[in-house]
Amino acid sequence: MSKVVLENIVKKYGQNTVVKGVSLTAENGQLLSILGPSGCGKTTTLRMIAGFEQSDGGTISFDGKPMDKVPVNKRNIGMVFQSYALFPHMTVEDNIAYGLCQRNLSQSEIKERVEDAMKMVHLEDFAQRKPKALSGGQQQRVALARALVIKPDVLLLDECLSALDKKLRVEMQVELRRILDKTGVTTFFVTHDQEEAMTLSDKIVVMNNGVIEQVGSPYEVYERPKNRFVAGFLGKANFFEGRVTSMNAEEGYVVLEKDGNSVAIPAKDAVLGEDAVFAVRPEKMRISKAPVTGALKGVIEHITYSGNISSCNVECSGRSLVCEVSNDDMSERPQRGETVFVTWESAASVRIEG
Amino acid sequence: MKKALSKIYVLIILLYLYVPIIVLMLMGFNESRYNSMPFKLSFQWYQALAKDETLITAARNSLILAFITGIICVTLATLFILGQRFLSGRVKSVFDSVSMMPMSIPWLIMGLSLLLLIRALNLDKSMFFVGAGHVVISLPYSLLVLKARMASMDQSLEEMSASLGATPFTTFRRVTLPAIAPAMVAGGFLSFMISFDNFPISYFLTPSGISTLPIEIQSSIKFGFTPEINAVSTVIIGISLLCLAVTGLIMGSSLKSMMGKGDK
Repeated sequence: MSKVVLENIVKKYGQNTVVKGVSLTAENGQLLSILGPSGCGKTTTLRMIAGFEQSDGGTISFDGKPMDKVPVNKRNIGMVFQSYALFPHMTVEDNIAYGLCQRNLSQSEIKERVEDAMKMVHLEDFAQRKPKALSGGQQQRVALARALVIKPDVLLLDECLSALDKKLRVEMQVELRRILDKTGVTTFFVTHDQEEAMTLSDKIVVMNNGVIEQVGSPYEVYERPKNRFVAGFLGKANFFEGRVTSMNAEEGYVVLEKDGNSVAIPAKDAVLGEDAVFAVRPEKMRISKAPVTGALKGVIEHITYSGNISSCNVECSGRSLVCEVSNDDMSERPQRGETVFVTWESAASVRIEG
Repeated sequence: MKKALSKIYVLIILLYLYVPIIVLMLMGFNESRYNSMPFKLSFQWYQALAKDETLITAARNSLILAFITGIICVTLATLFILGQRFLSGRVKSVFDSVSMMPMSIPWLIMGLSLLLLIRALNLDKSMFFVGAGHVVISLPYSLLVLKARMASMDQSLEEMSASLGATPFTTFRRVTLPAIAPAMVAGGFLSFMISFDNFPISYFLTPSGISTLPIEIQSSIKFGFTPEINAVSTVIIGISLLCLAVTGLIMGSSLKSMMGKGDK
């Protein structure tokens, strides 16, 4: 268990700078997700923490000890790859024991720790199987046990749930969280799946184009996104932008003007005369068939039904809004082509950077 | 109908491949000295073979030569692909094509060029140069097999080993080597066979007084040959098949996965 600090990490491939000065801190025992689209530098960052790649600038330290000159095999890390990378010619037991065999431990201690690890991931009965004879979920658990049995200072997970089908993935998320809570190891989790990052992490680091866009708890990054990228990458968002031409903080509305069009939306956090951008989550929007004061009037263009919710695209004077409505009352089901009024709490309008 | 038809033409192709071999093998068991009919079962040519010191010596020379060639080829090919992994894109592809070139140069020309080189350096023909020549032509086959295996190997296995605390040497011994071992055996076997039946290189470079099996067979044909040659050929085919079977058995599924179906 270690506190991991990255300071101004840079990585270049030839002319291409893929990680452009990343700084972040993972507290002891924290589960930190690095979230971003493919090619954003998240895997490269993880590989630098592991020591597979040398950084071209900055420092990485575990508990204050600089790691930049320490080779991979001396870093005491646990790693789980997307492909799991189980040694195909070894049994489950030998796979798990591999890391322990590299450390001067007695045979009896190795045996005991391997057995504990297999129990932890519920694979006691599979000790003598080869990886090929296991299902995807089982392979994943062997990979996790192998990484954890060495009691690593840092656990690094690279998209390790992506290869599983959805139902199993959700099960493994719960399982993973249980195991990590029990071991209390500082964990970095690289993923492009925002839902996964949200359910698993203590802290989410959103990366794009080699830089960190925002760091915060899942609640913070979802409810208070800093900019358009974060708002759009984690969930969906409707954006409103323009110069604030008029506002009323008490009633909670702001009038935005852009290119001669002005729109009044429920919002508070604005300064008269300044440019502002607001993001509103689709599920915070309400649709009503009867007129409501301060609501945006529009026509439902398209409805996507997905069981618990319906997602409506509402055309409001040249602006297409995405609104998610709960399907709790099916008598009120919105219909395509209907004229509706869209409104939301002024607090749901989050002011973001442009 | 379609199914029957396809069975027939596949059978015809297979017959085309194997009929000459089968005839050769059968005639080894025929009493007739001139490979002529009628067929009369006899083991006399095998008995003659057992007493033929020249052929046996030549066969032993060939076996030793091919064995040494196979070992050297596998070692060199393994070192080559391990080193080549650290090269980057362009250099790597140049190395790739250059290393495969001996495959496209006719052996006759290769043998001649080696002979000329030895002459130019004012050296005498010797078994050392025969071996060196055999390595030149056999190495690409070992390389080919090992490269294919390396390309399909999951690189993260080695990274995983390092992350678990293994030194580079331990990683090589416990992860890389087991992964490429089937390819080393298969590649070595291929190089062995290439060397074993090579005629042109041996013909140009063998010093007088020593001969290999292909050379011996060739010269005995010149002086009118007996079905002893059929017998020795049959023995060679038998040994090859045995090697193939043993390789298959030892390497089992890993060889199969390497040959096609793949574990990735």
